[in-house]
Order: sequence, then C-alpha cells, then structure tokens
Amino acid sequence: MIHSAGQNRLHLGRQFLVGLLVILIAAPPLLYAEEQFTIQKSASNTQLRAADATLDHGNPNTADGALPTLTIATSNASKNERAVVQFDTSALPNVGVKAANMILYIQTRPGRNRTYQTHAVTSFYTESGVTWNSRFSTSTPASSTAWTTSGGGGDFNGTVTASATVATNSVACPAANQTAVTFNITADVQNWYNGGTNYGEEIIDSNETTGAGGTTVFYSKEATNLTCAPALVVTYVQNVTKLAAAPGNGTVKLTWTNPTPITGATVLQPYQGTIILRRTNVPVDKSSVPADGSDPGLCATVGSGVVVFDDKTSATSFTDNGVCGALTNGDTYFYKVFERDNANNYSSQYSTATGVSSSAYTAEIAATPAATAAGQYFSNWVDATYSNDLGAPSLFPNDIIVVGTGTDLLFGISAATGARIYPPVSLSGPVNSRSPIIDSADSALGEDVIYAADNDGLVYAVATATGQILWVVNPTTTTGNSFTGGGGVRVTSLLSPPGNPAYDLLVLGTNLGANTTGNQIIGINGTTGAVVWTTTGNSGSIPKMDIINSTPLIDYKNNAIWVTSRSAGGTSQPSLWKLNPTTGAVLATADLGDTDSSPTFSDNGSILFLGTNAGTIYAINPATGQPFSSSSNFASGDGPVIGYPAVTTSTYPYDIVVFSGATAVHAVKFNYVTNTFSTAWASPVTVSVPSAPVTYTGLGKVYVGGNDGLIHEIDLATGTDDFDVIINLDNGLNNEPAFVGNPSLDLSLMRVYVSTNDQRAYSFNFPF
Amino acid sequence: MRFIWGEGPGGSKRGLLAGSILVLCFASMSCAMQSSSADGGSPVSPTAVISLCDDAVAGCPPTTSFSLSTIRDLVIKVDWYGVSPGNHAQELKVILPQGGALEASQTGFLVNPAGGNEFSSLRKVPLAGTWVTQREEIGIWSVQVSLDGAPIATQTVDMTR
Repeated sequence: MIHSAGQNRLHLGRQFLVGLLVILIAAPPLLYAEEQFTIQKSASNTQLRAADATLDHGNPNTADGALPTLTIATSNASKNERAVVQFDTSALPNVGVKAANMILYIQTRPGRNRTYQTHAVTSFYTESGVTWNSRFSTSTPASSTAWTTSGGGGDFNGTVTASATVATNSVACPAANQTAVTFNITADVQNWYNGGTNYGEEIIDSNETTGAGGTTVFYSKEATNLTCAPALVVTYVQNVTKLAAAPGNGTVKLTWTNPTPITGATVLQPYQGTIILRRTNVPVDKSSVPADGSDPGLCATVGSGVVVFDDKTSATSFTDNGVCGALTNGDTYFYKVFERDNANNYSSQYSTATGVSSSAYTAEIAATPAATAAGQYFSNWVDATYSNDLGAPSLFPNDIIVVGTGTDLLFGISAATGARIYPPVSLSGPVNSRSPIIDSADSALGEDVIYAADNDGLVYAVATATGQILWVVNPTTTTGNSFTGGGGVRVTSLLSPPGNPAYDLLVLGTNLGANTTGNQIIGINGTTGAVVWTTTGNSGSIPKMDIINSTPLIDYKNNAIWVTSRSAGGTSQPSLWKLNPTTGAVLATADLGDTDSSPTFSDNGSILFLGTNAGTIYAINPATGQPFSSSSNFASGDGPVIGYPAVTTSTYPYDIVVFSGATAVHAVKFNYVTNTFSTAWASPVTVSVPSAPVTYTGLGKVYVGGNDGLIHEIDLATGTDDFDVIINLDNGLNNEPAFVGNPSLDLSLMRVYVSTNDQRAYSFNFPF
Repeated sequence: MRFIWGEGPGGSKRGLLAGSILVLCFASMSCAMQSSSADGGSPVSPTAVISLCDDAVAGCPPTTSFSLSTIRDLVIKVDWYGVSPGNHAQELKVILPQGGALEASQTGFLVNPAGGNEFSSLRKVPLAGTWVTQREEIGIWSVQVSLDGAPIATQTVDMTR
C-alpha cells in the first residue's frame, strides 16, 4: 500500500497519529516541502526491490529473510542479532528529498530499555541469502559472498545515521497507542538520490553483548498485518517532467509539465512555479542550486548558472530571447529547471546539517540556436548518471535506455522523455560494457530483462520494467574475476526450431587480471542463473586463454559462439574462439594477436569481421574460424580497433566495414569474391580519440563520439564529416571538452544516445 | 613518496610508515579526523597510506606513474592505522582528470579492541582493453579514501599515453 501520513490518520485512527507526531517532532525545522509520502509494503505496493532480514550470530548461516519479524538482540558475544532493512523507493523516482524517517513497529518489546542505532549498509546483499556470515546465495563458497567485515554481521558505515530508544513499556503493533520507533535517515536517503548506492540500513543495539533481556522483535515486510511492516516516510519536491527545448534564431523555447501530487501523498505546500538556470556551452554544475527558502531573483548568479526564468505562476513554457544576456547563434545553451513551492523550496536536496542544498536528479536540457533551421538542434533529454562510463547505453527501442556506471548503478531511463523510470538499481560493482536487453516477446523469462555483469564478478538478471533483480550469481565462485566485457545472449525463441533448450543462454568471458592463460568463457541459464558450462583456458586440450574484454557474438546460422580475447601480447595463443553453444566445447581458434574489440557479422552472416589491438581488420570464414586467405586483412596502423567494427552491405560484391582507431574513423571495402580489402574513403576521418562507430545498412551515415565534446555524423559514401552536434565543449572542470562515449541508435524513435564523462547521458534526433 | 608495501628486506616498516603518513598529511591535509581510543583515553587520528601498482608487473611494485598502453589492472592498497575499535566503512574513489569518478567502492571492516587499530584493503581496477585505455584518459588521476564518510587521504597518479 502506498499512502500518505494524512490518510493514515484519517483511516486508521489514533495509533498512526502518534506515529505521525513522532515524525513531525523529529523532522528538521525547515520543513515546508511540497509532499509527504509513506513507502510501506501493501497490496498496491509490493516492494519488489525491498529486502529485510535478521542477521543472527547464533545461527550465522541461516537466512531469515522470509520471516515475518526482524530481531535485534544484545546477548553475549556470539548471540547478538541485527537487522537489515532496504526499501524500494520506486514510487518516488524523480524527486529532491527534504526529509526521510524510517519507522519500525514492535511485535515483542524488550525486557530492558534499549537504544538502537542505524547505519548505512555498504555492501550488496539479497534478502533470500543474507545471513550473519554471507551477503547472498549460501550455496556458493563463502569466500565470494561473505561480508568484507571479518566475523560477519554486516558491512556498514561506522557513523551512526540515527538512534531511537525502545522502552520496556513500548506498545506492540497493532494497537491504538502502538509505538512507532522512528529513525531520521534523511542523510542516507538523500545519498541514494544523489548517485550513491542504496543497500538500505542496518540496525544494531548501541550496547551489544550485554546479557539477556535485551531483545526487541519488530515486524518485517513479510508481516501478516502489513500496517505493521517497516515504513519510510519521505518529504520531497518533485521535478518537472517532459522538459523539451526548441531552438530558433537567437532564441530557445522551453516547455515542460509541472508535477501533480503523487497519488496517496499529503500535500504540505502547493507547487508555485519554476526557476531556470542557464549556462553557455557547459551544463550548469551539479552543485549550482538555489537555496531553499530564498528567491535569488531574475538574472542572479547561482553557482555556475544565471537565473533566466523566475516564475510563480505555474507557467509551463519560457522563451529565452536573450534575457540576462543575448543568445549567440551557434552556441549551445544548457538549462537546469527546478520546481518550487510556496515557501521557495526547490526540487533539490536540502541538508539540515549544513544548510546547503545539493542537486540530486534535476531536469536539464540543451539547445543550439541558429539563423537557419539547418543549424538548429537540441537534445531530446539530458539525464544525470553520476559516472564517467563511456560504454554504449543499453537499449530497447522506444522504451528504455539502461546505463551501467562505474559507481555500481544501473539507471533505467525512458527513451521517450528521459525521465528516470525508477531510482537506479544498486549492484555490487562497476559495469564497464553495454549489457544486453531481451524483450518480453523473445525472452524465455517472459519479461523484459537486462543481463548485467560487474567488476566484482557478479552477474545479474534485472527486470527492466521495475528494476527488480531476478537473480544474481557469481559464476566463477572466486573473488579474482572482473567482468569487463558485456554478455551475449542466445535467445531460445530465435533458434530453429525454437525452445530447445527452454532457457536463453547468457555467455560471458572473464577478466582474471594478470592471468594470461586460465580465463574462462561461461554459459549461464538466463532463467535461473545456473552455470550450464564453463570453458577454461589451459585445461585439458583447451589452449591458453587471456583476458576477455569483448562481448561474445551469437552465431545462429552456424550454431556457434564467437569470442575474442587477448593473447598474452603475442600470436602464440588464440585470440579468436569458436564454441559449441550447447557444451562450450572449443570448435576452432585463431591466433590473431591481442583483441579487445568484439566481432561482427556481415548482414547475411557469411563473414565474421574483427579488429585487433594492432589495428588490423580480419575477415574470418565462419566455417573454419580462420581468415579466408592470407590477404583477408587490412592493417590501419592506427592503434587498437575500438569497440567493434560496424558492417554494412554495399553493392555487389562488397561489404563496408567502418571502424575506429586511435586518431580516426576508417572505412574499408571487403570484396567477398576475391576475399580482399581495399579502402572505401579517400582518407580516414580524423576525430579526436574516436568512440566505436555505429551505422547500419541503408542509413548512409556513421555516428561516432569524440574526446572533443561532439557527436560526429559522417557520410558513409564519401567519408565526409557532415555535421557535428555539440554535447559539451567544456566539462566545467579543466576547460576541456567532454569525452563522448559509444553511441546507440534507436531506429524506432530515430534517436542517438550517448554517455559522456560529464556524468550525463544525452539523446538527439538523427540524422542531424 | 614511500610505501610500506613491497619494501625490501631490512627496511624499517614503522619508520617508513611514519614518513608516509607525514607526506600524506602534508600533501592532502586530510589526516585530521579524530576518534576516541578504545579505553576512552587520548583521541587517535586515523590515517591511511595508499599505494598503487600494476599487477602485470612482476611483484606489483608500488609506483605513481603508469602507461595506459601497458597497464593491466590498477591495484590499490590502502593501509589504515589508528582506527578506533568498531565497525567502519572505507570509501574509495578513483577520480579521472576531468573530475568525475571512474569508480567508487565501499569496504566494510571491523577493528577489534584487542587489535592493532590497523586494517588493509585491496582493490583491483581493471583497465586494459576497457574504454578507459581506449579513450586515453591520460593525465593526473587521484585516488581518494574516506572513513565513514570523512575524507582521510588522497594519492595522485600520473597516467601517460
């Protein structure tokens, strides 16, 4: 159930009024924000992403996550009990948090007065597997799942977030005068909305190991009476939505939708309007936010932005004709929009400790005015990711973009509007590469799912609609592996005949650090996470296998899986692997030299192209796993091939292969009659440290990001750099342009998506 | 900058440690956090020594300069001293030259009252073949460590092409 504190009071009587009073008394003094909302498990809010459990030192390997209670006990050194509580905040995806109170309800009160302290948990865990000793899945070796804290008992921040006392005369739930044990965890919740991981809270006795009688039993979210389940009462200001920009000649028009209160929320202050900051060629800094309780006024400077719109009429559009400074055609203007309430509280996060507001998720947009329509362009949306990751965003066209970050998060973003679909999913480690999304129509799981793999060696299936982690495994059962490449998925519904096996097969390659011989290629059951097979280098008849940074390629035509790897810096061990998808058996290998980029097929699947770290493109015969001939290669001399070669079909008998090196984008023609390469363009297109290129047959354009803050649009036929879209010419820190990552193309919405090292993701229409 | 990690035989670990901490304090001005000792006596200041190496180099000798074209993994070791007994969390951030975080990780640990108020953590950041090396994130990186949210130490790294 999602409901407001006000509704509780009306519907459920005095006992909740007592709880509400506790909340209000504990709240910070400046509390005039717009809405207050209670997150608590109910029939309408199933808390899919929530978790709570007791960590029982007396039974250190027993998982208690399914129990209806949470026990916190001080006993003796080996019998203490603690509780972890993690809320699913998906009901509030786009808000600036002003206050947050966690409430626990009592089943059995203590025999002695107790003080409990809550701390932010600092490691990933699952409800079904968490114990005193382990974070998840007790079926795998403890070394890969144990808390990093020696002796177990949870990993948490040593600083106490909040304390609350439970007296011997406390009243159990449900009762008219029940006790609501309330912890002010505003700081931690704000951190979850400000790029931090949300692993929830751990509650412990402030004086553990002090003998019998010090036990309190609280209700968990599995309680029969869900009004006694843990609750999180959040006070917040929503952001505007559907922010859009339309450039003109020396003008930019912004439009947006003002928020309406979330169903079930208590409105504390009505929304009043917006305040908009502007900056030229650079996004307004994250820390540039108006202070709650004040109105800076038109043309005032707020951090790195200038107030160009200061509205208290709930307007939904603004045309920037050069207020507070004329607009120059050709420059790109970045806008940052804050919703405000009657008391001038903004959609940012206010810190009671410092009195300073900080930006969490705030609506941003950019546009470039020009004298003619041909020169005018704009971002569809801009979204903060809090990370520098330059991997290509994962994509389900016209639905969702998923961005994995170096800060252990997965962001689910609406492809259409750029709005966060839910707060980011907290994983264990960084995600380096694009993760595959399989839509519900094709997936054996029957729902839209993304398979992510992180640097901590964990693999996840996550429902993209909700952000719920469906399963997580450590397939190597070691702590030495980092997944740096993405996963390939052999979708069973696409097999001929379909459905055998009944599951989709996820294939990943390991990165075992300095190990150049014993890496693995792993096949995982996409429905359960179970390992189906493992192919280990330098074991049995399998050759040595170096680290794998690429994404395996599924070959439906030849019933195979293709994987590239490094080869210990030489050509005396394989760097191309062809595997049997059913058994993982090695069918063929080729010694082509270190290869970090992923292989790509021609449109008809008859030629496999790959690019090595020496900058050579090879055309591989899928039947043999070897180059078609000794001349079936092209040496660019431009450093490692970046990402993957992009392949399009050209006039008979040619395929065009476009690839990026260290300094330029190259295009070569492969003649599949003579099995030879030749250059396709008069000269390579120079781009400052280019990303991987992206194109497809019939598009006629190539898109590539650079370290120059631009997305380049290159004409495929001529190799002409047609048009460049400015992402960010100054990252705002050291006067250098932003680095633009690998683009993804949405052929349904005709949009290109990129991540940048200004810690944002962007969307633009294409062709430019 | 000197490191306690990888010192040869005959070196004075404590002496080197003191020198390292002094350098870090002067360099980062981040060694001022106070906490109480286990017996409630004089407060002690937690300090951290950050050392870095490439695990592709035999013995992983500490250094502060790496080539992106050859580095395999950036291995970050943090040695903590003077940490008060109880549970703690180390937050480690690797900051790129443009100012954003390449990664941020947290490590929980427990210091027992009977222990030496010391703790060491090891973090491997895979770099070879990732977009970090491909997109030439050259320049001065910084590795920052905090204890329970309070910044303690910073170590810069010179990443060359």
